[in-house]
Amino acid sequence: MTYPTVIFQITAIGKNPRALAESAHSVLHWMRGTPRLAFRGQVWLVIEPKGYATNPALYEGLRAEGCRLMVVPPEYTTPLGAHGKARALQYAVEQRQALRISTADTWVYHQDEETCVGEDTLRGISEFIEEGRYQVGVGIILYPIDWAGTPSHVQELTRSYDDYRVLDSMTMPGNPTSGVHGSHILVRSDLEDDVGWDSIGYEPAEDLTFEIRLRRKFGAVFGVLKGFAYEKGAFSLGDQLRQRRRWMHGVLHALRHTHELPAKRRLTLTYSALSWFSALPSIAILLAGLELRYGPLLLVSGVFTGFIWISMVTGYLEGYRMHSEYIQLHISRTRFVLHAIVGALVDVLAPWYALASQPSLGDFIPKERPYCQISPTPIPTAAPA
Amino acid sequence: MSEPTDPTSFRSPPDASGATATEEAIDPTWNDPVKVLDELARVDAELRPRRPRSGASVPRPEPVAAAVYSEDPTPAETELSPHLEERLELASASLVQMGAGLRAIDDQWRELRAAADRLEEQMEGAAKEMEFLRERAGTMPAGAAARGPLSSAAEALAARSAAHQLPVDAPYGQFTADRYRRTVDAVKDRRRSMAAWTIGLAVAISGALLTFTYLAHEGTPPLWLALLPLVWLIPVPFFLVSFLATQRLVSQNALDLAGGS
Repeated sequence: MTYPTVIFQITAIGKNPRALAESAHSVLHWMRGTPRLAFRGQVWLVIEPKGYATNPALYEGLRAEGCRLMVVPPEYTTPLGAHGKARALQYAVEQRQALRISTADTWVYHQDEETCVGEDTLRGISEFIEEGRYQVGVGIILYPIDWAGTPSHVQELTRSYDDYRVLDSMTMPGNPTSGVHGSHILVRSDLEDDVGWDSIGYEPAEDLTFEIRLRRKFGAVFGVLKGFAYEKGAFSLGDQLRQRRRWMHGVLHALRHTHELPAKRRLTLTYSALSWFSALPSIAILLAGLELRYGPLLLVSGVFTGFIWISMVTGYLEGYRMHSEYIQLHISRTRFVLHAIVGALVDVLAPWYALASQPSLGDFIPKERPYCQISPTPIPTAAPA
Repeated sequence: MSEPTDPTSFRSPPDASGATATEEAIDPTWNDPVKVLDELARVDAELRPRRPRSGASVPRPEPVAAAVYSEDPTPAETELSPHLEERLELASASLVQMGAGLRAIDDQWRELRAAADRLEEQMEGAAKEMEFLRERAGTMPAGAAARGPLSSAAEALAARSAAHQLPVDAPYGQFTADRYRRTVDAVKDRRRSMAAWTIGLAVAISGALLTFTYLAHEGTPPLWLALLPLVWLIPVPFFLVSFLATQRLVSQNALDLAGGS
């Protein structure tokens, strides 16, 4: 047995350099501050040239601090011609293959640009690798960073509580409720590099396709990854809407174009999309009920109404409690309820908005506050790799 | 005209007529203690009446002319000290210099303290690391163990230098294993009550809705209208499975981190 290596891979456009730097620093900080870890750590930053151009000095600083900086060359193409994040992820796969580290001794921990780790994350990774039962680990993500109590931030709290469902689903055969994560996921490199991230054109939800491929080829390799990851929610309702739209585009894209999707999984994925789509008509029908009379059928549908309402309220309440150790700002109950309603309405609208619009590579969600905007600088002629 | 190069020399201020009294010569009396004291006394007397005073009990100071020039003042006594401006400037400069020096000392002291804290922290970490390696002796190759968690000497060096640059008050500093354990344990502790409340309130709300519906005695609507509320049933399986999945995962203690730090 040798010490395995964990690559903390932050794959992003790179247009949120400060958020990205904070993520990288969180790894460096806790790698140094957490003894008894049974792995070696490396930080890989895989970014696009236009992201690098926003703050070359910062990226070079990160390189000097020990991070491996990879700017995906503009001329790089994958065999299938992937665009967007899938292309960058495939580039990292090929780099590992070139370095001959696509082995069972190398693990890749995927981070978004705002995914910070904590002591618990590193301990969780260490335990997961030492136990050696599974080859892919998924965990719960909290959203406490820069939490400001806005509607989009309140809505994000429910995602953490929902992660219990996601984890249970992902670790069950067939992923019955179609849970998936693109960050805070630990994958053994030989598995990841085998299935790869390559896809035809733009893949709005590359993580979903990746999970489908992994499951199809390797079966029940998913286990619970202990420890949280720490991210930040969308800053505005517009960002929240665009983010959710991208998710729905991902689901629809997978249903239409992913041929590896087994029939059973296609069914569950369709159902989960349908559930989401049903939210808006549900509200419309509820409001229409003030005028229309639905009659005795309510004796059937009303049986479950209480359960659905309470489940939704529990999501907010427990989500908030899960964050209470971490968020500094506490808002009044009235404000919380109002923001929850507004945030929920955006989520209700999102799938229909996705139907009415096209997937776009421009679905870039800012993760830095507006006053942190950085003026762009020219792209260097020779992008460092 | 050349400037005096002797650091002890200085240019005298212009006299009352505007001309420079001793343009290049060194004033032989400027460092005479008695003269300086006399001068300070004169400056003090001149400045005292101008100082603002507060409080009703303090008597109003006499006018400057009455206090200082009451007895046939000579020109030498009425004019300001020729050295006052320079001395005040020198004193002020010295104060600024002392302030800067103190700030530098404070900064260095802080850095030293931070370095000492880091040293202590890393020594504790090293002790734990040694213990960890001893526990795994025989399962880990010596080379791998000695290298530690960073993959190369260069990276270790870079990380060490980075240790001085990482902000200590960054949000991620609070993401500790203890907080994680408290959060996960709290969810675990609430599992049964959460389930009880969910089921209890769901039954209560649904019961109330069904009662209202039953008491309304509404007639059968057209089929298209009656089917609309079925849309509400679409997410029911999803919520049921979510509830069961959460209960199952929490009850399995699947998120419990082993041991302490």
